[in-house]
Amino acid sequence: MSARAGPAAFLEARKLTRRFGSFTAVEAVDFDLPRGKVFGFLGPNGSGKSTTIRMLTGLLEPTSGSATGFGGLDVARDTEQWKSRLGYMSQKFSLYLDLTVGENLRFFGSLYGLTVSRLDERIRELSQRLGFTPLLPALTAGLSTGQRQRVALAASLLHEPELLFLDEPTGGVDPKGRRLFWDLIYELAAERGMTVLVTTHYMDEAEQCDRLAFILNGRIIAEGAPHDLKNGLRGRILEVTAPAGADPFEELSLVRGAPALEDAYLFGRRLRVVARPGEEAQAGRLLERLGSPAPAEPSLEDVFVSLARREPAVTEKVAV
Amino acid sequence: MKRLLALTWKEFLQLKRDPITLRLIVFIPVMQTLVFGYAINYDVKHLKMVVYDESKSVESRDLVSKMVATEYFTVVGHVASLGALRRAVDAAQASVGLVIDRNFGRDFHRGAPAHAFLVVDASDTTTATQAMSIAAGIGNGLSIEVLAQKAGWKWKQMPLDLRVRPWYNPDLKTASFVIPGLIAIILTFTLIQFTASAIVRERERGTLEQLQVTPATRTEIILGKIVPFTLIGLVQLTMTILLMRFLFDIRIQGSVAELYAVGLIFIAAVLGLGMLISTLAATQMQAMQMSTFFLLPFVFLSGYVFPIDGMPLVFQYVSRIIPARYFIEVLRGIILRGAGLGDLWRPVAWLSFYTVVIIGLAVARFKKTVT
Repeated sequence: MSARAGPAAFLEARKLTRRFGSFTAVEAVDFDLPRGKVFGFLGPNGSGKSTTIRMLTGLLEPTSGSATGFGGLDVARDTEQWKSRLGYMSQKFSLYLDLTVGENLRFFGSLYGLTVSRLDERIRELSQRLGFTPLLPALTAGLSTGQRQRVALAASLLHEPELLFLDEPTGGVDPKGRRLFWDLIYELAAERGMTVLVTTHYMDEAEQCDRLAFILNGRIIAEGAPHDLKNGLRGRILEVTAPAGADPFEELSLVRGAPALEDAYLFGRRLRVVARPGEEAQAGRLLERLGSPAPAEPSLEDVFVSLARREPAVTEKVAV
Repeated sequence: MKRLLALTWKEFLQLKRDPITLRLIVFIPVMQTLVFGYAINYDVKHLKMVVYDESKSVESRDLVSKMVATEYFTVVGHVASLGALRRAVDAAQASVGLVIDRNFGRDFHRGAPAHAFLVVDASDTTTATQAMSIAAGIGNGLSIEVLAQKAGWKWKQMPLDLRVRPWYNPDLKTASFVIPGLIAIILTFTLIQFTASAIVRERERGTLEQLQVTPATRTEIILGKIVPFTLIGLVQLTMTILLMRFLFDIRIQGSVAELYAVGLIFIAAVLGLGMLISTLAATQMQAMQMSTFFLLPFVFLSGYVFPIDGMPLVFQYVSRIIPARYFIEVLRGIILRGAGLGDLWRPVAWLSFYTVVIIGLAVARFKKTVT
């Protein structure tokens, strides 16, 4: 099933399962987080991304399965030590609104046992790096979403965690804020060897991860580097632009459901189809009425849609 | 320890930012002590009385002035008919009406009963009972005077001398009864609600989850709530004691240290109840409602206002599971009677027992709901 990433794995999740009553939120999930890499969890809402992260942070006990990491710790056994070495930024903003930014950072920092001088130094470093130094004496309640998100990131990085969990960190944040955010994450991963697990549904963010896992209905349906995941579809994506006289919606309804096609959808006047493996020629013929179809670069969205179509038949492991 | 300190510091910082809660912490004990101390008064004095005196004799005037001299009655008017007297009582211009028979002066010395009657507005039972017993006393006193005269009794004293000594509260001040118990009520009022809503607020805002991913243990997180609120409770306890001493002149007859020791046990019990509520309530609104649910039995079934001995048997049993009942017993014992823990071991033991049960339940439920 899962390829063991070998000695470089920083965290290993094995058969991780969580049930809530009769509902299985996460089912026997297996994966490795490689050290110093950014690992992305991609999947629709309710697919089990957050539940998985909550188990890995020690917030939620798994119904079964295990997670080991940090060179020999077990989340269930060494919970306190485990928690002291990870950082977590939740999807919901969770700093104290009635404290100032500085007070929030000082408070969370002291929970991690940082000395006063070290804490002051870290607060100075991080607030400069994330550009919120002038906000330190401000009440957190008055901050914008983007500002809060950068402060929350700083709070989760104060104790220099070796492992960082980001649960949909950039929802509602402007592009510039997102840039600042990701630059720091990649820098920390590359230079300090920090391992990162991030959940997102932004395709551009997913695109930049070193490795991705697609999650659907509590299971990992595919895992690999973004490039490799897309390779599986290379040559099977065809596009054609509907000519002036044609109604693109009508054309879409004509081809949709054809046995040669896995999927078909519109981008403006462009009709884009995913051919079934080995049916590329047949798919091309279907589109010829509209013009000459050209092969297109697969996107992660194509990959996800294509994989989701096959669910729950087989859990596929994309070759690396 | 360092983490507990940080958690406590955080709680006080938040309190500092919340001037309304901060004021409530001070305002509630002061207000309640003033209101309950002054307003609750079972000694009904200066009842308004209208007089319909048909006799207009020396004796009838003597009766009226004897009643006024007790300070329990004040004449607010004289009327000339029974109908007018009835209207005055109906309209609540007076709560007592005195009717003196036309032949009162003559009959008084003849041995034929001299008639007078008193109507009392009994819609308020406390007032009515008191007015009735005092009026009866005056009637008896006057009769005895006449009898003594007729019998030629020449000594100053009455043949029987039964003296009543009101121990512990010689002036029979209601405040002495009300205020010591009030300490329990004030702590209950403020602490249950503050604790419950402080925890629910953290859960609502997601900060509880953020705390839980830090290395802080659940015990530390729970203590991080208990320690600051215990300190608040001690401040309120001290404030109420000072008001009681200097405003109502009620001195603590027993040991102050023992009072604080038992006070801490009770504070732990109400904080535990607050925590228990926080595990059941999903929103701050629900937490408030549930707190109220506990407040009423604490006030009415704890013996704070109504004596437990006067309750129907069922409610006497119910009152046994109310921790405030035992704390009030201890408060009155230490403050008014100067009792020591040796005398009060029974209520202290029960209070401690319920405190352990409540905290145990709260911690167990708290651990379940936060994971």
